[in-house]
Amino acid sequence: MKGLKLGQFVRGNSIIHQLDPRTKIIVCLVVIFSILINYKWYVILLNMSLIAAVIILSRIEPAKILRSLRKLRYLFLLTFIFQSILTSGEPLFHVGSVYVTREGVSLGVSTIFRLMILYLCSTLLTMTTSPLKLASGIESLFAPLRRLRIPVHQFSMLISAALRFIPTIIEEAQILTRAQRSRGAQFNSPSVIVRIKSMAAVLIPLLAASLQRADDLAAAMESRCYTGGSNQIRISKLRFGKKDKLALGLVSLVFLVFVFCI
Amino acid sequence: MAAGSIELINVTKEYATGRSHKKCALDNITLTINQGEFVGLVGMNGSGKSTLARLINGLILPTAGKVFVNGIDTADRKSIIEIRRHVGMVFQNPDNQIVSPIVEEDVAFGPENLGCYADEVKERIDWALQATGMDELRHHAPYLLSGGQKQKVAIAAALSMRPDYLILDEPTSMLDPGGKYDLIENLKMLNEKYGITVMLISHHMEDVVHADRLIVLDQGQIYLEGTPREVFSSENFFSAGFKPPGIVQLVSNLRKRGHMIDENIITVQQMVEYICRL
Amino acid sequence: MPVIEVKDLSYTYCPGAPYEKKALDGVTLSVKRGEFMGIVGANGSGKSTLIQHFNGLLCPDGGKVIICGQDTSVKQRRDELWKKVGLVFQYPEQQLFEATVFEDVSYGPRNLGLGPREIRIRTEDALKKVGLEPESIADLPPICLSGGLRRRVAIAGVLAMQPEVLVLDEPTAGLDPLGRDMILNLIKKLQQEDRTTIVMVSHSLRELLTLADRIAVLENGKLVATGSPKEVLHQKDFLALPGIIMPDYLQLIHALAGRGKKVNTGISAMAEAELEIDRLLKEICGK
Ligand SMILES: Nc1ncnc2c1ncn2[C@@H]1O[C@H](COP(=O)(O)OP(=O)(O)OP(=O)(O)O)[C@@H](O)[C@H]1O
Ligand SMILES: Nc1ncnc2c1ncn2[C@@H]1O[C@H](COP(=O)(O)OP(=O)(O)OP(=O)(O)O)[C@@H](O)[C@H]1O
Ligand SMILES: [Mg+2]
Ligand SMILES: [Mg+2]
Repeated sequence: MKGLKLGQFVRGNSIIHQLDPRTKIIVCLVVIFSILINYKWYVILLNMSLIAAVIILSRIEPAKILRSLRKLRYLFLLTFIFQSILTSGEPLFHVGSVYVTREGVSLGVSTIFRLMILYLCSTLLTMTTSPLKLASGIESLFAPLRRLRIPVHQFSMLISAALRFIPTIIEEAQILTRAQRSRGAQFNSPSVIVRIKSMAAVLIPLLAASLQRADDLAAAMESRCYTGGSNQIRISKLRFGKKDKLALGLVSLVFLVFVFCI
Repeated sequence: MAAGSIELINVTKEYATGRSHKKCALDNITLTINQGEFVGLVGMNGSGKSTLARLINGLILPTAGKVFVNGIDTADRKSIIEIRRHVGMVFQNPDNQIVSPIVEEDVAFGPENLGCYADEVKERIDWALQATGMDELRHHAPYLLSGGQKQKVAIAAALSMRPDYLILDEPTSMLDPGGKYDLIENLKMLNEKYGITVMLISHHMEDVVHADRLIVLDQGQIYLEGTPREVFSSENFFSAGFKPPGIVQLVSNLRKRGHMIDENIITVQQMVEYICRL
Repeated sequence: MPVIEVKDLSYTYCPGAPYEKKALDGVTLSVKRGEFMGIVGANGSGKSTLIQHFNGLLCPDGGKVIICGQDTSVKQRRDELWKKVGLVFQYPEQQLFEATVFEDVSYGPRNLGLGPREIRIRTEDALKKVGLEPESIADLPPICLSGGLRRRVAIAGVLAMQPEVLVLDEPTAGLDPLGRDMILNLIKKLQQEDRTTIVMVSHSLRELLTLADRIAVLENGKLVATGSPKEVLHQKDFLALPGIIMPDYLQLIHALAGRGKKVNTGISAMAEAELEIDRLLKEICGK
């Protein structure tokens, strides 16, 4: 009933929604890989344009996604500060004995963008792919890892269940926070001890409730004949079609050219 | 073991609580539920209702005794899929049993686990959604539906396995009266039209007046059993702290005022007909 | 003077987002001191949202909420409101977190900054009010209690703050008949003996018809009726509201009236229905 949380699947019929989950996962991996190995500006630009294109194609309101970035602003700020003072290079100015370097500022800005790309990329993936499809996609892509005795299916189901539960747990946390506040818990008290105590009053019951929910969900899934084994039917339903080949080919080509050739 | 029924034979279930403590949730229960029945299960908090429900589809196993579903022992882990295919479950909190953010995909979860092929899955979804009246909402996100609608999705999800039995553990406790009424009407229809055996657990006697049989659990034992009329008029029912639906109380008060009213009346409709016939 | 005054209150969840939801829309309502106000409405009609305004957890988007003479739009006042208005959430037993019943119930009083003696008195008082023996239960961990007992402990946790107004969100949901009666009696006693103002949300019209002095009906964020149980029952279209169904004894009376029998449909309590049918039956048999 409650409002949609960011990162939660939004039903839609756009081309992005229709793509095979595996395509989307691969593109995500490529994007993440590219920004990890290459800090150059044009890679960032390329990734940002790709993300912009996906947002437009997926018909998700850009404002909504941009607003959610605000939540990360402190993280961005902190990263920026650390990068700019901890990187050695040509000093721009200094405060006391702390020097801010040109390289540091540049690295700071690019790190912010890279974080943003990381965040947007995974958000878009989960917003346009239903958790069950995502699980099937992960499972099918990483199936070869099963030979190394990695429990691929369990892992993919875990991700799917986590995604499914994040909004519920946020909602639960909100209710518990309010309930304890109305018993006088102070979350913005000057005293750290009081704050920690108040947090505990939320976290302890939240943990209990989450375990209860997990237990309920497990019972509901089991009683619908889920046995914990991998499900070939659901995987075989995935269709890697023309659109996927096209999308994947295009994206990989552009990236290869940019990342390695220039 | 008769096929076409659920049988519990001398079933005891104990939970381990702490190192040496045990909590006896069900105590030597013997019970048969026949195909086609509508059974109401009531009892105080902690009387063992949920435990009974979970025993029937093998989510938990009895400490002693046997549970058979259509002749298959639930302790036989090889047949567990077979058992769960026969017994659909619906739980109290609609939010905790939905696995997918699309109604249709959620309903497909069961058949897919059973290994059905695409067209059969579709056929089953169509039927289940139509039987619960959720057809129009098939592409919706469950979390945008009302509590009552969510519970119907959960019922459809159970129905898509084409079960013989449907067990519902307090499905109405989070619903408003309108949603509750719809749900019960839907269950009655499934029972009558499709012959699905229903076991409905509830704390509200109004929910179970239409049942063919009412079972009252108390501290892990079957305390009373009979048609709703028999149970509601039993002295023991009152002394244990239960109250029949308002209309039954009303009729019994009227009897105390000296009116000779038909003993069989337990619903509003029956009472209206009775008075109009006078 | 009313203890709670709500004027033209509006509240929107997630404003600006595509899925924004106007949960309350122009609600005007007041609750007098010592009164028992019932709130009914379908799932999602805004009941929980409304009552969270009463102790300052939510701040009105439009309109005013005045509690004990103070406007809650001032943040400072809102933050102090929990001392006056006790709010029992739905399924409150989920909030228990301390290691023992005593510590959990005394959480509120401790936050009020009371001395140890006062805390002990209030905690034991609250436990007695909900029908629990402090000596036998105070040192037990809450987890090992049954559902009904945990609910009572949670309510005691709110009572221990001795609020002027007690607000309860579906306090009987999921309880067995004994537990329900216990809680309802407790609430009624608080109103009658301690003169506590009560606001109670419930899906059971029958509970409210017997307990409440006045009932407010919400539909889709709007207040569609208020008044005494009888007034509300006779408001036009009340029974056509989604999610609202009459208690069965009233269904009987209305069905009989619909079949042309002379019964007074202007009643609300079960005892009255009994008298009506009694009279009707005597009339029929007398002829
Ligand atoms: N997992 C468990 N571990 C330990 N004890 C349990 C467990 N589940 C249930 N019990 C205990 O077993 C007894 C029966 O529980 P059960 O949940 O079956 O009751 P119920 O009739 O469904 O109650 P309610 O009306 O509250 O849902 C209770 O005393 C309960 O505390
Ligand atoms: N935290 C939230 N975020 C977004 N929307 C919300 C939130 N809480 C409630 N809503 C929405 O506001 C509306 C009113 O909700 P509210 O919980 O007040 O209803 P209610 O009358 O208490 O329902 P119920 O009988 O199911 O408890 C609903 O449509 C609900 O989906
Ligand atoms: Mg139960
Ligand atoms: Mg509510």
